[in-house]
Amino acid sequence: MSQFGRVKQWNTFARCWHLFDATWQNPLQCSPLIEKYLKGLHKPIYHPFVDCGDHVVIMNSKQIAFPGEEWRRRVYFHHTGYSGGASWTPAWELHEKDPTMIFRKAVYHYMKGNLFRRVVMERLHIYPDSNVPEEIMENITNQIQPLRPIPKTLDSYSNEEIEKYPKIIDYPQDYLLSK
Amino acid sequence: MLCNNLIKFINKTFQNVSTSRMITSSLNVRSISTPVTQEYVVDDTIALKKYSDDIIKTVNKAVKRNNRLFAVVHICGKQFKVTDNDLVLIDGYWPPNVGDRIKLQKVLLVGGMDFTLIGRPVLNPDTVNITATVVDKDLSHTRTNFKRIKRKQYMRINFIRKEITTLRINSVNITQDIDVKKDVQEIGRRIM
Amino acid sequence: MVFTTAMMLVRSRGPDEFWRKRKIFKIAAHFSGRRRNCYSIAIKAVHRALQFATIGRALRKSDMIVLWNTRIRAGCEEHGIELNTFKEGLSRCDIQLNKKVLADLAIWEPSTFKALSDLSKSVSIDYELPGSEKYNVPTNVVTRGLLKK
Repeated sequence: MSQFGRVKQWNTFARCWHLFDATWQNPLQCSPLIEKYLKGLHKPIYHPFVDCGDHVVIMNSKQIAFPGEEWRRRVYFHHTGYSGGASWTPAWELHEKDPTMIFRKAVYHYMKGNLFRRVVMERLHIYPDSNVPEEIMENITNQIQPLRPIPKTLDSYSNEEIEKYPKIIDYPQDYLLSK
Repeated sequence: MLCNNLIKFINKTFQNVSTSRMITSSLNVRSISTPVTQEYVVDDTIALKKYSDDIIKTVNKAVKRNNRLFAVVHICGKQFKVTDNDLVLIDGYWPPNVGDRIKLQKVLLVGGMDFTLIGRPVLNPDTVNITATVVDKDLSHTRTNFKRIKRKQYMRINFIRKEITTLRINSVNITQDIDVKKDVQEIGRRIM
Repeated sequence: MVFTTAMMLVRSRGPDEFWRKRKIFKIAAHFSGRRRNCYSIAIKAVHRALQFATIGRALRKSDMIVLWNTRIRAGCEEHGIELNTFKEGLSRCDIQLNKKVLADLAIWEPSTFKALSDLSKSVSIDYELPGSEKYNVPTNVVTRGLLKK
């Protein structure tokens, strides 16, 4: 390949780094989206034989959200290999021990079980909060849009917004709301 | 019994109608069953025409620069994306002989660096000119069709060679301005 | 002296055995180990290989369609349109570009593909197709309502 040809090859198949903020996101819902970027399905040059996947950096994996009773009902199985070594860990317990495990398992189990999977999982970087190392933050060129809209909590409204918000009636001055 | 009920029902409806009518006449209230909306319809046909005329002028200028153009051409049931000096391999029976210079009529799309002309479904053959020469007419390499059902003594082997034609695209050109229309337009069959 | 018994014991298994086997060995030339050198093992390997080739030739057509669809979907996403809306918009305009060509355009002619996707968006809005509510009317497309029949 000529020099120019090599430059073109590197330019086309260079791996991009994408950022994904996992606050208030459901990992089971997001894993198809993440898998798409890891495999390279977002590129028109995709081919299953060619390794054209990208890196994905997930931050705030500590703030993921499961619907309903999932935190209590979803259990993760592990066997040490020795007799009597089977254990079932509920999601909340696993999350306490390692906040990145749930997202990683969600993406891993969504993927097809081929030899490609282990290689591609190496390119998924998960961080529990927004402290992402500088070397990785430098590489990031794109942010993947989150699937669920993040609702605004009551604490996050500023005093001015609360005062400006239209009211029909108001409690009397001496009314005790809570102690 | 039924008759009585029916009469009561009719009276009731009559009463209802009359009372509502009374109410309406006294209060002048319009009965709103569907909301009435008003839209301001802006007549922008002139602005759009100017916009499209500007685009056509820019494209005509770009056409005159004679840069390399690519085209999507429909030959023998298949579509190919071609430029100048491309070789196209056509599978199957195709009448043209070696050395024939052909003008390809079914052009679906022509594009350059700055513009694209998209045909619906085919572009005007007077505007677009794609010339090609038949380079070679041969048989394909031998394909072995082998069928076997294990343990049933069934084995069939068949060798097949299809006719293939190699076509060299000489040039892809746009010969006239895009918005040129003939006074007398042809409708119907064109000579392929 | 004439040894008639010896001559009667020698028998030919067929005058063209060498060339019959050579046909098989030619196909098995790139196989590994005894599969390229020993006839009884090579013939099994060759039969398997030819079967796979025949089946694969039929599967290739469906595999290519899947690949083209994936590529067109990726191209559509780059321009913010759904694949089904894109295809429906093009077919309503009588644009009959096939999947192979659309995939090629998505890779090699991104500006042409953008033009097609913008056209699809405005046509889907005109026809009020199911997925078209979330698209903004593209400002660079002038249809003048003529594309709607």
